[in-house]
Formats: sequence, C-alpha cells, structure tokens
Amino acid sequence: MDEINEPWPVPSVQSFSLVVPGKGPLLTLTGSDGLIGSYLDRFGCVPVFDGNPPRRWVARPNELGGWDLLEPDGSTAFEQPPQLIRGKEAQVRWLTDRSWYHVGFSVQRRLTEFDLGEDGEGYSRHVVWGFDTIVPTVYDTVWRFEVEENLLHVVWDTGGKSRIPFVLKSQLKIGHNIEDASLVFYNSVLEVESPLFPPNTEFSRHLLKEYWGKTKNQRGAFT
Amino acid sequence: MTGIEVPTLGSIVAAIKFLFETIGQGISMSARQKSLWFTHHIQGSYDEICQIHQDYTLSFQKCLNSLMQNANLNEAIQILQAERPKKLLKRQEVVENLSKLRDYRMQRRRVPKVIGTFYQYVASVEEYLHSASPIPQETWYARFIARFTSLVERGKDPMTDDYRGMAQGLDAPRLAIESLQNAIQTSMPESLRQVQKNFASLRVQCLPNV
Repeated sequence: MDEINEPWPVPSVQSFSLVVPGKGPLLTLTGSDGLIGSYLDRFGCVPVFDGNPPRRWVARPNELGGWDLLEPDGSTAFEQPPQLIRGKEAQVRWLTDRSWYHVGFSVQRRLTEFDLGEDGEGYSRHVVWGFDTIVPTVYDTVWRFEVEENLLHVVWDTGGKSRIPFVLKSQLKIGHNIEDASLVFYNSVLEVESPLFPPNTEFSRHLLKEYWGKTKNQRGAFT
Repeated sequence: MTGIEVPTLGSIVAAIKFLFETIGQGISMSARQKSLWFTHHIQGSYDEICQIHQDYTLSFQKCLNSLMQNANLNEAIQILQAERPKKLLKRQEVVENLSKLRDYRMQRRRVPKVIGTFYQYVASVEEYLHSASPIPQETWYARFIARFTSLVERGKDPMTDDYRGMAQGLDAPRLAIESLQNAIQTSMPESLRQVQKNFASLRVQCLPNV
C-alpha cells in the first residue's frame, strides 16, 4: 500500500508500551476515551499512526485488556477510497436519504444544515449562538428542487432561482464533538459551487462549499 | 442608590406561556388572539426593555462621568457593583420559557410567520440584555471593581493605581471606561434598534389595522 506511511485521512492515535508489574509489557493507546470509544463502538478498531518511521496500523482490543496492532488489510471503513455517486436516480436517492451538515470550526457555537425531501421540498437552516445565550439566532428557508446529474435546480421560497452544480461522493468523514470529545461520523460528501441558501444571504458567503451527510435515522452506511 | 428599577422579564415569560399554554403546540392564532397576545404581553415586554435601556444608560453615563472626572466615586462604585440586566436571564422561569421557545423553533418545520418574528424579537431582547451588561462581574472586572472599591475606601486615588497583579495593570481604569463608553454609545443603541425593528414587525402582524 503506497499510502501506508501517510497519516490516516481521519483522526488517529499513537500507541505505547506500558510495563505492568506481574503482567509484563502491555500495549496501550494515547488519545481521549471519547475518541477511542467512538471508533470502537462504530468499527471495533482504532486507526493508529505510529512507529519509527511512523506508519499506519489498525488497533484491535485483545483478551488481555491491551491492544493488538495489525496490518491494515483494506477492510476497515477508514481505508475505503471515496467513490463518486453518478447518475440522476442514484444521486436523488443519495441526497434525499441523508441529512446534510456544514462541518467546521467556529468560535461561536453554530449549526448549518439542510435536508432534501422525497417530495421535492428542501429545507436549510443556519443557527448561531452568542456567548452565554439561550435563544440562538435562526435563519431558515424552504425551497423546491429538481435534480439533474451533478446539477441542482432550486426555487427559493423567498423568490429567485439558483442552478447549483455539485459533486457527490461516498466518503467517510469524521467530526469532533467538542462537548464530550467523541467523534461524529458522516458517510457522504457533497461539494457544491454555491451554498444551499438564497444568494443574498450574507452569512452564506463565508461558508465552505462542502457538506457532510449522515444517513437519516441510521448510524450510517459504514456500520 | 443606582436609580435602576428592578425588572423581571415577566411580560416576555407571559408572552411565551400564552403561546404554549393558551394557544397550544399547533400555534395557529386567530386575529383576536394575536391582538390580545400583543396588547397584554408583547407591548409590556417592550416597555420593560425601553425602561431598562433608559435606566441603565443613565446609570452607566453617571458612572462614566464619575470615572472620567475622578469624582463622586462612591456612586460609581454602587453602579459598578450593581447586577447587570443579563442576570435576569438566569432566573429559572426565564430560562425554562426561553428554552421552550428555542426548542419549538429548532424543530425542523415551517413556523408561522408571526411566531418566527416573535422568536427574532425574543432573540434580540436577549442580545440587548447582554449588550447592556458591560463590565461583567464574571470576568477580570470583578477584581478591578474590588480593588477600585478598596482604594476609594482607603482614600487613595483609584485612577492612578497600578492595579498590581492584574494583567491590565495601569490600563485597567481606561479599559473599564472604554467598556462603558462602548455600551452606551454603540452596543446598547444598536441592539435596541434590533429590538425595535422586530417589535414593529410584530405589531404590524398582530395589530394590522392600528
């Protein structure tokens, strides 16, 4: 594998050996319980980038309470390469089966998300909390949409239309939940030429043009 | 005395309760209900915010004058030590009702226009109360106020002290003055304008013939 010496494309941990009196050396992992626990709950293994020179490993818990470092064999979700979703019907199904989120770091707590319904109605929402506020500022909008392959036609509820080229991929993406250091898993990436908000909305100019998707009412396609 | 009346945000709480307890979760209001809601609760909450604005602007201006003239410092201390209006947001009944309104708004569904506007109005009131709370006690200002008070009580000049042990040092009084100036001249009026804008929009929707 060419990329064996490249860091994992997802958050990873390091390993180190502890000598436990009476038990001998025991391999353990660095990183928060939230991060390691999230990987274990989801995949039953943890990506490790470690060694001299550093390289990729997959850690699985063993019966002794420690970890076994195993060669990546291409079977884990974090080894899967992104796959383009092609064709109008597959894209419609992929888009409407998922909830979509704008994931990024900001000083203020915020939520940007959208949803496409099977009935052709879409919904976008941008929510920002101030410091120590209870009631966040909410901007939300409803719109009608039609999909052509790699192209979204949108008619905004507030008036006006947009034509938004997109690229849709099946790809594992991982966000950090800053409240408990756990991981949030996404299984899709939607790259758009313009955000899914009406063109005159000021905040949307500063948004990334990439949304991450999670399968609705499921834990995700990689489980 | 600080000259500040004790506000409660009771009208805003009553306006939210009216929505959820009188109208119910469906929140479809008749013209008469909108009119009653506006007249009995929203108008009162707006009047209360205007009163808070008037009282606190006057009070902060007095404090600012005292600090800048290095005179009447006991009055300035009373104002510096007084609770800020954002403290109102910590009352349990206020927290519970604001949270209920937020949770309703955060559901993924179309919200009636008048409720969307009311939500924006409440959000702007909360924003205003934060703007009207300069020199907050939970920051370094607490130490500044304590030191300032101690210096005045001992007959020393609090404007020339080096405020040793505080990162702001000699700049502490200047930073406090700037914070008050910013509140009075910029953030409070700007936040109040948002409250007024949302209030006007609510009035048009609730009392269309007035």
